[in-house]
Amino acid sequence: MQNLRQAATEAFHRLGLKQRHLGYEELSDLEDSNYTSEPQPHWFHTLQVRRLRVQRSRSNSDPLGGKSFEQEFQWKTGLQFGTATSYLNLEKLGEGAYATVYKGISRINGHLVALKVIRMKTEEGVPFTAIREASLLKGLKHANIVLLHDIIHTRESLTFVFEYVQTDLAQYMTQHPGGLHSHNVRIFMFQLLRGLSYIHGRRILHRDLKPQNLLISYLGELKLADFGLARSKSIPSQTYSSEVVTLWYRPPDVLLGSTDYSTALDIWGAGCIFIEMLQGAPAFPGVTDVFEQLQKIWAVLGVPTEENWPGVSELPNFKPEWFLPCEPQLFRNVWKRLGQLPYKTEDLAQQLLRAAPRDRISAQDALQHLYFNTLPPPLVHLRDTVSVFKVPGVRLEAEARDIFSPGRRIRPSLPLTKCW
Amino acid sequence: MMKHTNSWCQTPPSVTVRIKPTTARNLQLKRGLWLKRPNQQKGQGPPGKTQNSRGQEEALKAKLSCGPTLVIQRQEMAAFFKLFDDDLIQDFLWMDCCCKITDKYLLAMTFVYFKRARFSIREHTRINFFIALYLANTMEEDEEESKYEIFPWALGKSWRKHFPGFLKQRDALWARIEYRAAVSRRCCEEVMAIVPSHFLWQRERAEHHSGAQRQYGDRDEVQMPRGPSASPARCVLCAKDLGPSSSSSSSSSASSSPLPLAGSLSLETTPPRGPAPRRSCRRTNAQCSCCCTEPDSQKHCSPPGNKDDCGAGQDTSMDWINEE
Repeated sequence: MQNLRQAATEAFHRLGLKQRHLGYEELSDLEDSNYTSEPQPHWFHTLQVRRLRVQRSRSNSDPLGGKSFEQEFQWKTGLQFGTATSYLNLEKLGEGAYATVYKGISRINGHLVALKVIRMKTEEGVPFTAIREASLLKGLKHANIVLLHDIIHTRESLTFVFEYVQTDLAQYMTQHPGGLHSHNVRIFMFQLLRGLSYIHGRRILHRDLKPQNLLISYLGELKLADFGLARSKSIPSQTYSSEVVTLWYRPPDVLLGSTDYSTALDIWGAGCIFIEMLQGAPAFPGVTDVFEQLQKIWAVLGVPTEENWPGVSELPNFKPEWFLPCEPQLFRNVWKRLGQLPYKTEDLAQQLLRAAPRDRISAQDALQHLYFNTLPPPLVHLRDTVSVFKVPGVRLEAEARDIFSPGRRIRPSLPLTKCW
Repeated sequence: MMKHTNSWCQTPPSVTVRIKPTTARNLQLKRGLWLKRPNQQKGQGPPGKTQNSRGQEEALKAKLSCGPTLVIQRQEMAAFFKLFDDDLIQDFLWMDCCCKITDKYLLAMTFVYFKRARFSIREHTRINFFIALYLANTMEEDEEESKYEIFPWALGKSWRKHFPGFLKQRDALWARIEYRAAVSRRCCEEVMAIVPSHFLWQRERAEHHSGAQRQYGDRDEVQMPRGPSASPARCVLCAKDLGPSSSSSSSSSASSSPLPLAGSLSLETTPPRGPAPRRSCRRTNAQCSCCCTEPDSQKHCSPPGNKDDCGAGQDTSMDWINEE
């Protein structure tokens, strides 16, 4: 129970982070409250729901617990997309800055869905985040991007209907603490980069990569979600904010105040998530402000200079005298797990986590990295909308630790015959 | 688990399907259906590849693979340009001398919204222009406050009372374009390429206006819209003198002959007559069809801006606007 409580606290932390697209001030508040006070009952309740869901996810290819839903429920013919009556709310899954997410079921076809109900203020109309998210997702059809099924727009409310995906990477890592199975990390990482390669090919930046925005299906399919901060970078000279990306996953150039960022922004986040999956702990965690965050990064990469990062001294927040002098470290000395794995793992991490954005590897090139050459070759040629799990031989391995079933290794993947 | 994640059940066979004329017609029909039922679209599968769009059949394939396309008719482009004969809109553009809220890309997006909304000529109004422009700013600009300048121009002195209604109209426009407010750069550029010399497309934003910092509450002065009654703010960055700008003079020349349709249009660029002609195709051939190839096909091309590699050469003037 104690363990569970601990995990719960960590999960609150994550849920808390999810609450808003945080600036760093809010982040520090959360940090404090997390360790000094009990979690709020509201969150605890949410977690209970989530915990059940995670447990069930191991067999939730049959989401209704064995009952034959088809028999009990007559699908209504004549129901339309775009209307609220076509969906039933089942339970609340979480709350975000501008929306509440419910699990639901489509009365049109019986599919489980996630209903993202956007809060609308009469004064402000639809939040710009919602306008961007739906507008972008409407054009994105890829196995590693969450699918937007439908939009229900009435005078008072706006609801996005997404495909339902059981859990997210944050919860998955909470459930399997101490670092994930290296094989599974590879499969998740491949899918993350595949999704990024797809959106970057369309000149779209996600701008808010973090584990809780990476949904994980019961099979292990990873899907980029929450495009509320995303925007297209295709149009030159449009205005950009440097207040993007949750602090831990924010790249040094953006921390230094650059607004001239591009797809390399998301690559840094992918690198942080790579380390976090391997280590079981965030790569650059637990800081209160931009400068501390930068210091964390310099402690590993060294303080940048004009020689190794031309132009760095012109960035608004670059004040070398404020930083403690640091020498670059070997990644394996900082993150021990890398030392236990073949060198190509560390090499990929290094190419993702380069301080200067132009030195960071692109998603497309990263997919060709040696690190992935143990995966079945057909993966490279998959069509956009096809899941990597369609390729024979691709499946998740059992994680070493599972807080919900301690002491036994579980088989994560289920026979497909149970799929409905 | 839902069926749709098991996408292998539903995904269509191959991307290089040859579409026969009849199939093409069916596709058109389905597309009409799909407008109402977005979910039905999946069966059609991903757009094909348009690497080699040579020859009529290939071009047809390309067109179909683009997804819904827009055919831009001469009078629509003209009607859009005609908006800028309006003195108020001209003053509004003049006020935004740094092109923060009315640069060429935002204006091209505004036009694409007009098309996607299927505005009739009668709906080419000042207020619809401002609504569409506001939506373009909502979509593209992180700088949140600049676009508020639109309110007093669109709504007059009592804009404070009326702006919630204006935002409702923006949301209605967003719904009318089927929630597709994203417009690719390529699409914008192809719109501009129809009449590249028009003064609207000369409205380049300077590099120094491209970044943004979120403004925080401790700032004393809130940037309030200045409106038509005030003179434009002097921009320190541009240090631009606000004398009669070249844009206003060129606008008058543009208005005297609203469509100096050089180049692309005079090529009589009727797209290869597909066996699945759109209604508009039948009506007139004085049109320019425009489609931004969807990213699916675009990825085989060089990044936007480097059109030469894209196969869709200017000669065949396949200017497509993509609706996906």
